[in-house]
Amino acid sequence: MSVLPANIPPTAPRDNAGTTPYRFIETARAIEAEVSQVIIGQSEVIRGVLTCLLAGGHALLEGIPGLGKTLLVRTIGEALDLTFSRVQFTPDLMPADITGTSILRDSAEGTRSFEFQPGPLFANLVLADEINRATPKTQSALLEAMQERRVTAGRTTHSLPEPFFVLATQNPIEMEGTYPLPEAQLDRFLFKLTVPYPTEEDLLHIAQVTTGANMPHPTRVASGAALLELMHFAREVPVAESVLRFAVRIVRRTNPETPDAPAEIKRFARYGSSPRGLQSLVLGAKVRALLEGRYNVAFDDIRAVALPALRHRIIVGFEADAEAVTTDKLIHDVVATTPEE
Amino acid sequence: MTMLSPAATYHAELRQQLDSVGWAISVQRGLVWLARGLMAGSVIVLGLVVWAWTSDTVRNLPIPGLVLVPIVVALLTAVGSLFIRHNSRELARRIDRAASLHERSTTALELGARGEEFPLAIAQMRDAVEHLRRIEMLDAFPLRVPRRELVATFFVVLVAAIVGFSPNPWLLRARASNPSITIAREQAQRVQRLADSLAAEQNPQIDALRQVLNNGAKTVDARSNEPDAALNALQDLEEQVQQMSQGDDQLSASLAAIASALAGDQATQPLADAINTGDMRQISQASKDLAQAFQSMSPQDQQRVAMVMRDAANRAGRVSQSVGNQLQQAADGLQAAAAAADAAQAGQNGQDQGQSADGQQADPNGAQAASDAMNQLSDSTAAADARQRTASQLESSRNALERALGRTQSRSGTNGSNGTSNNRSPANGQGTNGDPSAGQGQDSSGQGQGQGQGDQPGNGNDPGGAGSQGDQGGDGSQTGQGGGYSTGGDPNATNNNGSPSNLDAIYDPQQVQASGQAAPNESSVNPYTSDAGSGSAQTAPEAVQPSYSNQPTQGNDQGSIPLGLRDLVKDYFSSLDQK
Repeated sequence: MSVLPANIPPTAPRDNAGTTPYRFIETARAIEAEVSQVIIGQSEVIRGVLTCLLAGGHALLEGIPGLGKTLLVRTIGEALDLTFSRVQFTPDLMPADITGTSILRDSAEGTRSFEFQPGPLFANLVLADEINRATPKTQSALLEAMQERRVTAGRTTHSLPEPFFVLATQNPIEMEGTYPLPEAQLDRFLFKLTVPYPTEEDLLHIAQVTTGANMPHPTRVASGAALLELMHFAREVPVAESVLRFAVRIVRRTNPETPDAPAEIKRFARYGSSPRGLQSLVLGAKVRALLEGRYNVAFDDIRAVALPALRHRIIVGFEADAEAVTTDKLIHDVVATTPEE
Repeated sequence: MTMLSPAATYHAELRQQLDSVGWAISVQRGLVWLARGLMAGSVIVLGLVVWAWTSDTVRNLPIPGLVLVPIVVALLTAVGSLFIRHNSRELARRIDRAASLHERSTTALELGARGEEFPLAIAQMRDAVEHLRRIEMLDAFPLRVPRRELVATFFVVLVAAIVGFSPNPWLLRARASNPSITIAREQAQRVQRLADSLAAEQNPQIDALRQVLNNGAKTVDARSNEPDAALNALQDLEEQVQQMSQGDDQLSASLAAIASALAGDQATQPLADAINTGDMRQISQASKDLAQAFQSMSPQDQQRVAMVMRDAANRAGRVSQSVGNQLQQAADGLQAAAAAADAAQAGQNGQDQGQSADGQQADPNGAQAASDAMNQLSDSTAAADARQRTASQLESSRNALERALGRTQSRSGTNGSNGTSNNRSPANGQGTNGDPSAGQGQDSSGQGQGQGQGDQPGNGNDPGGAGSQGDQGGDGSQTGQGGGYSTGGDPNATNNNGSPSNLDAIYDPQQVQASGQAAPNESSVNPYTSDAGSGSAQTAPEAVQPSYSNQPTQGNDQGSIPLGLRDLVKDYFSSLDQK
């Protein structure tokens, strides 16, 4: 099945041996196409989640209930032939409930021993639904696993399966009884994606597709191993020094203490992006470049991923809240005013 | 043979592609810099115009030079821009932007420079090279008309034109407070007009004079804001013209000798008459006419005229060797032509017609030589005439400027000594008072000046000295003017001593009855005038001055007054106005 769009560069190699740029793009586009059959609209979110997966990062999806966040993550899991688990975070959810715990087990010989029972985190794709409803203790356990990609139970450390992705969702409304993620933990997500409300056409399409007798089901187009290969491949995309410096300048200028930061940043931002934000920016740009049919990162790639990569890493003060200045607007300002050279 | 690695191959090809990018950019930039140079040149022109505007020398700016400055600057900047070299990195960046290559070239260039060989790097370089191959450089870097620069140039030129054509209010104010500036400018314009009035002939002497006058006019005009300096320039110019006129006295004297020699023959009588008039222009024309007449003269006439010419050459040679030589050449030429014609005539009588034709073939050659010699004489007299008129006008201009500056020292003595008076009355028996003093205009006030030439005495412009001039000018009772200028009147008239009071009295004409007998100083009935009324016949000068000045002023404007006399007329009536 060929789903390549017309803008695939003509220089793509025709042999499909090994991981080639052509194969990368073909696979990525196939995943995207499969997900798009189920998730109507939300192409930007789908592209963002896919970028996150291919960059080897975790994504935080934010949006009101009913927009298809959970369906999106589950569809991706099905399209990728990955083990998938879903955890509905609640205030009474304990760390062991997600990481797993050691249980006492009788052996056939009549001896008893503790055996580790893996939690839902032991899956390739984990959907952490409404992550902000769990207590900080549980959130911390999840975020530690996300960062370290392993779980420690007792005195034993258990590695999480590869690839390992956490796609967390959170509801920006109904904040009562929730535990907003601390900034340090938000930083562990590669992207923070905002799920917008569908357009009228998309709603019409949703109604037509999801209320009929035949619901579309995605087919598996890639295995976990193939995905790992693509992830490694994406990291090899070359970046010109000027483009890299552009990304560095953007990240630096989100920091209010930087001399050449925009006035808006100096006024409203308390903290800027961390170096991890720069990593996210560059990695996301590399994947985007491949998805766009290029073998190098362009300035436009950096600009395109600046919002999802940086919006959860800039901490604004109360003045911004008072004047309804969002981090998205600040990032727009930074990107628009940062020179390429 | 060494095989290059794929990365090195792509890198080399990439650099080659970037060279063509550099060429396209150079062409595009050359066009832009051409327009920018045009703008810069226009700004320079604007600066020059503003400078000239402030120093009131806009008229002296050479228009071709003003046009050339922007063009030359534009060409220099455009050519100079072609020599600016680009580095490959800059070229890659430019082509990435121009052709929306999304940093393909920049990245490939870096990868190639680092010698990266991993698959994605090679794929990237190949991708970049193949994209570059497909780019039409003139599409990526189109030759757009640099409108911004051209519009700016247009406005700069417009401003320069406005500045150049608009009067300078400060200078106008300065001129209003110092009228001598205006007079200095007027004199410069007069000198320029004089230079322009010199006919463009194949006469090197007149050409030289015109050149001197052109330069002098520009100098005077450039210094008109400092009238003293303008006066000095005018004096320098006058001296130059005087130096050029050094041989003219000899020419005049030799012409007098020639006239007496030529008067005896019918064929040369017109030239003699022209010489007797003292008008170099007429002499020149008569010389030309005689030169043309040579061609159609019979051999006998040519022989006779040749003898007359030889006599004239002998007489003129005592005064001016060059004039004598010219006449001698003319005589020789005519002699040869006559001899040839005689020989032809003999051949016709005795032999066949063919020999006659051969004999006549020599005839025009001799006549041509004579014509050439007379034409040379004509040129010399024409140049002398031009110098004479020029000297007269320059003197007039200097006087006007001196008066404006309040310098009233007498120059009559000097001018008197320079004045020429050709007493030709013995030659033609006409006129009586060829007294040189008639042209001097010397009197107690010491400002009269001019030249008297026999029976056309005097261009005196001194009011105080006019009375005596009128008296001495032949028919002074009728034509002597109170202003000091006398045309001399009828050379046949007797030298009546007119009453000085007649010169100063101005009459208010009274209309007489139709039936009455009009006295010589009364007007007859004119149906187009109304009753003049009664009153005193004599009236104050102020009452009639405007109408009195009107005719000569119009004559000056319409060119009916001879060029050499216009300034005198103007100065005279201007002095009356001032009174």
